[in-house]
Amino acid sequence: MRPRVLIAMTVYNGRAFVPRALSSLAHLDRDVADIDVLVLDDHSPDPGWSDELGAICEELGFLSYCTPRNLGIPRNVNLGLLAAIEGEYDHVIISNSDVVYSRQTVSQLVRAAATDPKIGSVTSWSTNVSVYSLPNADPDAHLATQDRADWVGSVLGQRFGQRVLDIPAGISFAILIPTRVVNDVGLMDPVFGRGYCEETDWSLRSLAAGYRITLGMGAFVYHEGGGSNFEAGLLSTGQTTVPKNERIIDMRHPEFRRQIGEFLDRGELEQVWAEARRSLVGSAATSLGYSVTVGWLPQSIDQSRPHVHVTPDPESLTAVASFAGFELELPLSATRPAADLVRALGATPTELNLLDRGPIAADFNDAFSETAVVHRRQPYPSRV
Amino acid sequence: MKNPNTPGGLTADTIARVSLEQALIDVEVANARVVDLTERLTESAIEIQRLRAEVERARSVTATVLTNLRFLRTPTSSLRRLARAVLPVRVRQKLIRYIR
Repeated sequence: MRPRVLIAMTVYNGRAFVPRALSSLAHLDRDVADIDVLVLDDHSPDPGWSDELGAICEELGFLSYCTPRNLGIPRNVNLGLLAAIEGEYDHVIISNSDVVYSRQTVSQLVRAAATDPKIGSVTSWSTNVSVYSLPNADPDAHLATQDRADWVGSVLGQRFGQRVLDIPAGISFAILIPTRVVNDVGLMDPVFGRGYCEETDWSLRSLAAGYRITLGMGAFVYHEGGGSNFEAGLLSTGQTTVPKNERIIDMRHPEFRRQIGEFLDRGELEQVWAEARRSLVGSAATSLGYSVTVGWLPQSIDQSRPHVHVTPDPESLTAVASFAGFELELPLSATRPAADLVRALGATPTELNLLDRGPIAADFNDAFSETAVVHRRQPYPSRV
Repeated sequence: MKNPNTPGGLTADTIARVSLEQALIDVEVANARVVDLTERLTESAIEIQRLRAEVERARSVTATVLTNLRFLRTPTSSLRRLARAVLPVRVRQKLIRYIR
């Protein structure tokens, strides 16, 4: 039987970003699971917004429910968890509303959860998911569209498939939880008031009950972060958490900060970050082609395809490939840099900008002048 | 409430019922927690009073001991003369270090 998944998206105001999130839910593939969407409007005060939200949901075939008074995040999330139990769903996905789901997200999360019955939660991967964030220079500029989210999701899905990484705590911006685990572990604790840290507490309770807390590296969701919480005054500018709720975590789970430190020290994140960056930049270079600049100074570049900047210092050669805010350092040797580049990215460049006359630039010229469009622009001496 | 019927069998009425039931449970839990916390707060307040009184007593004893020890430093005091007469040098040096 195909698993049934309920996505419970909590909403508080957010006229500027919620429609984009709902549109991405409508766009999800249903290859692996049957998906229903429940939008839980926590009594948004923005005049007319709740009616507007209801109309959008109706059009998309989603169920929406506006609470008669504001519940706060933990209790609104609980409503989603309880609805999933009531509706006899196999999984529930608790979701923020300042997100863009990549098309394969739910399929990947369900596949990941199916790899081990002891998995108690699978958090989606993102560029904004606490310490687990995939590094990106400017996610809001590069990844906030459906096309880009789909592209990242597709590449990460191919690279990581249903692989998961055990992490110290889940993040409920887009987290899948099997409903049998909700039945066993319980609900989010309303002691966290209007919200923040409730999922950390829940995760640690699930861990104590014998479940694994995991990150689904093949499931990508763009997350703007803080959207509804800034609107609600829950966070002030520059804040990323609620200190009084962190104190509850410190009291209840005194080992948690040490566990985070140990997890980060193990270096597993750096390894998967490197894998992800190699796949993302490599995949873009293969499918879109890429340009190379050999020069000492940074250049303004065409951002529609990957770019490699090579600093031609034979003593300390550096090369950085970048695309859509993802950056990848390339290990090029000073003797055969062009060949190393092709080996690292799996393709030859389509454009070559030579801003230097040294041996590194000469090697690139020899290797690619027949196949790439070559520009030689040297209006000034290359170094002061 | 929107969309009275959706795929999956959930309706807005179902969500409203579930929400009400959970709200009532939350109130019961919140009340039980208030009762529990009040008991623990009362016990803590009594414990704090007891510990404060103990600290006061300890402070008072320390003050008396220090006063007596300082008297030892007064060159003309009979206590100092007595101490010089009966206490070994090592003990006297320890006492001097302590009252500095």
